[in-house]
Amino acid sequence: MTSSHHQRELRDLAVFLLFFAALAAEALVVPEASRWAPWVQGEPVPLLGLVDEVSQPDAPSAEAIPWEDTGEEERLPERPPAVPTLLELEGGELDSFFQALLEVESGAPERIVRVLHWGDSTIAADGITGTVRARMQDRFGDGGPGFLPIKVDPRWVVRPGIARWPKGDWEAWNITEGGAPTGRYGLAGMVARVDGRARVTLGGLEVEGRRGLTHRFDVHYLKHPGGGTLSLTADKGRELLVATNSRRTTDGYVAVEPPGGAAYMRLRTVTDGPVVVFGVTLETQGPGITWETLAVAGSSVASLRRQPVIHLAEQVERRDPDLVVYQTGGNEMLFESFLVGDGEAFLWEYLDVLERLRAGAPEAACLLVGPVDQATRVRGKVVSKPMMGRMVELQRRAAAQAGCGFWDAFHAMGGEGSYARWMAMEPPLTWSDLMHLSAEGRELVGHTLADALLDAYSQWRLAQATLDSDVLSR
Amino acid sequence: MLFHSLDYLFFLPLVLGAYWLLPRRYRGAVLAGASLLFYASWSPAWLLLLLGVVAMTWLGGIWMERISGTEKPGLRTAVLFLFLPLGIFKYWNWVMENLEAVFGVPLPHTSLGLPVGISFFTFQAVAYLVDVRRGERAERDPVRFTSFLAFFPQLVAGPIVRVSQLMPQLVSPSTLARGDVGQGLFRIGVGMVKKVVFADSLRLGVVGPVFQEPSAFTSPEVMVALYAYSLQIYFDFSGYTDIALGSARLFGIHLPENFRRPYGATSVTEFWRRWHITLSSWVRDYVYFGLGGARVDRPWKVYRNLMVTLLVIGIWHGASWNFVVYGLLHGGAVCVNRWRRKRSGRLPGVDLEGWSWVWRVAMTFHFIVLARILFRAPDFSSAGAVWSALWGGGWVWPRFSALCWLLLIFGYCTQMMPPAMERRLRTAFVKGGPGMWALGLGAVAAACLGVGTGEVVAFVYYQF
Repeated sequence: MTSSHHQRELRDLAVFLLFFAALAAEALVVPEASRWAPWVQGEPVPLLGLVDEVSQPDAPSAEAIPWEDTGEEERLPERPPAVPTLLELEGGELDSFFQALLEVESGAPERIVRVLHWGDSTIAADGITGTVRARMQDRFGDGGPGFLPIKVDPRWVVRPGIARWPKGDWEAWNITEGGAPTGRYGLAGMVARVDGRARVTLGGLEVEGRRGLTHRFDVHYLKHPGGGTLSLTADKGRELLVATNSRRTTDGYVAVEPPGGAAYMRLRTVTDGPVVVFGVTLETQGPGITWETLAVAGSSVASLRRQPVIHLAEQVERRDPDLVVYQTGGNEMLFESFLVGDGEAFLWEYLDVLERLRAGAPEAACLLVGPVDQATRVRGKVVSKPMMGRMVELQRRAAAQAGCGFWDAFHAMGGEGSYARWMAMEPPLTWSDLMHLSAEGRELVGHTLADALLDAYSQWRLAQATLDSDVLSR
Repeated sequence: MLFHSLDYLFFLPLVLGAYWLLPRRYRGAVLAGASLLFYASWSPAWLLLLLGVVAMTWLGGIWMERISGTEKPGLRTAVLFLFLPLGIFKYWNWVMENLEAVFGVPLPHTSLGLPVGISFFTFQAVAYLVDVRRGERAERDPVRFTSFLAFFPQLVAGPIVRVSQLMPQLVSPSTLARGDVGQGLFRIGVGMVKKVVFADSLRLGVVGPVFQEPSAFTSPEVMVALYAYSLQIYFDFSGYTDIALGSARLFGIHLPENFRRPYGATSVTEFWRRWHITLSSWVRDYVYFGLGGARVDRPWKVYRNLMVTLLVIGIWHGASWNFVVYGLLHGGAVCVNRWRRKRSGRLPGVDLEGWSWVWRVAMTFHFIVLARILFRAPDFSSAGAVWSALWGGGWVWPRFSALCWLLLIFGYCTQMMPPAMERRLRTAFVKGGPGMWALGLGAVAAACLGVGTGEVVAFVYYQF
């Protein structure tokens, strides 16, 4: 009996193996079923690796992609696995910004250079912008944190070290998700509203236990029918009451400049009606520079176009920036306008966004930063998304057409295959979601961008000095 | 060679073919040879280590048998020798680092990697020697003994088997009993789904990002990631065990179960009777009972014995203070369980009902989930970062992919599935015959290719 069971089981096992092998063979042979093929040409031959490891093709893994050094970036520091990458400037795109930097460096009293940096989740985490800010402020002085929305999604919108402590039932909306009752999202694409008792305390960067002083708080809010009153108090100074009630719905601004500066400003509602606040700018007395993170996770050219044109222009105008930086691309990879044809429709959208951002500051310099690498898995192997190159090229074209400088973050990561390479580093420089850089990765990209900016500034200074000496010698 | 790799997909049928087609007298050699080849696929150098441990245990067993029934010492020496490689490969650098920190002098470190499965086969070897010393028969045939200690389905991550569980199956003429093939294939299929579809997807989509940068996530997201990690590690390890048991079953060999719905435990003590059962019972038999267990002259000594036992379990997982604290936490919880039970007079194993059961399961589960922060984080500071993010990360609804939510919810639902339903499913599969099995495993392969990450990631317990 046992023997017959045994024989039957063996027969069944053999038949099963035959059936299973037939299924696998079908996936190998029939093109329609190739997605399910257990093995495709180019992958390691099963079991062969046990006896002949050398002749095997690369296993699906994050192997290094060699980078061809052109020698152009020699003056930039090496930060492997990042690749030194220069700013791409056709001629003079950032001159006004560099001139402003020179003024600050020359000690122009109270001069603050303002940089507004819009972007998506890569920027919202403040790793790239935070690193650039630290490097720039280290050289040109601390201009303060700049514009801060008051109620943010703590997962993505991060500003380490500053005070931003909202209390009460603030409701918040952002340009990615939409839904703001007035359709206005403010400079950073985030708006907060409250009808009742609430407050928020804001303060500059804390260094070694001491909160930095802010000399100018500028509140961006909404004037609207039935609006309540805001109470503003800088440290223990005099309370300033601001009525947001207005017959028409318009943007409102109020600046508080505490003599000698203040560590904190408390913004409080008086509970006589709903108030809407876009954010507050915090600046030092200067000279210095701000590098302001104005990013929302998931944002794209489409979400930025959700902002009313005049509202955005007014918000930007109020900040009076010296440089506007725009950096998205990761969320647009599946946009129809991007995928169809040669991408002209997407290019148009991109240029439209740049026009909107610059409408309030036509004199400001402009810099486009290309997307960082994103990846996908192909049979287990982490590879760059196939559209990365196309996105970078379209953005480069947009920069050229709009008269903006361009910095290729994809190139700075090492180009094709860099996501896998960065993921394999210890600690990993990317997340395993194949979309985002890790804190270490963001910091590295930030340093690489700061290297490029400071180098371009040095080159500009050098050119200026040469020009001056030419003029003098004449 | 990982179970869910293409290598294994070819390796297993080839070994099965050789095993069943060759005359019976060669089967031991086939198993031993295949097991050594399997282990060599990681590193031929590690194979030498495995062979050394096999030889040492085999000779040690014969020696233990000789001195069995006498008062001659020898077991401790033999066990010490067996633990020596484990100590050097796994704990040396950690001990040196701590001594350096205390005394401030540089001490020698090793640059040796950790051989895969060393904790598993070392513990199995030690159990063998102790059992032989206690009267089990020592195996004289070196080939058969190699099959016992290096049996490839359970070599690198258990279950840790005793000589009485596996050796008789290797000695007696192996045959397949009715249902063995169907049951074995069912376990392999289930294990593949657990590992590739559930564990790897949750690791990539939820657990990995949160543990990599906890400050970027809100409190609910960190909590969901902790739930996901508990599910991931369970599906990873039990998935491995399913494939191990299923593979062994195709050779007509029955290995002991390693899991019994651990997240349904009503106390931490019960959890360890349901989670990694073969390690828990090893530590109970050779450490807890060795210290006197509950049969000691003073009540506090029972608690001491429990603490030491759980500390051993903690340190078994790895050389780090995280695992020391992890073991102590569990030890503390087991002691509290015992103290409360003694005080209330409730007998162990008495079933709880209704809300009392729900409350106890929920409390135990959350203790396990939170303690696993120490298990997953590489060091105290990383664990602290996860802990901080858990309590101070804001309260926005978690935003993970729909697939991750589906896997998480469905994964925990399977924990609640009535055992009878699982049995019916298995029986239907087994009765389906070879055509059904091929279609079933084909569907599993499709699910792995379609939903899984495509990446062949090692099992979590391989690192132990």
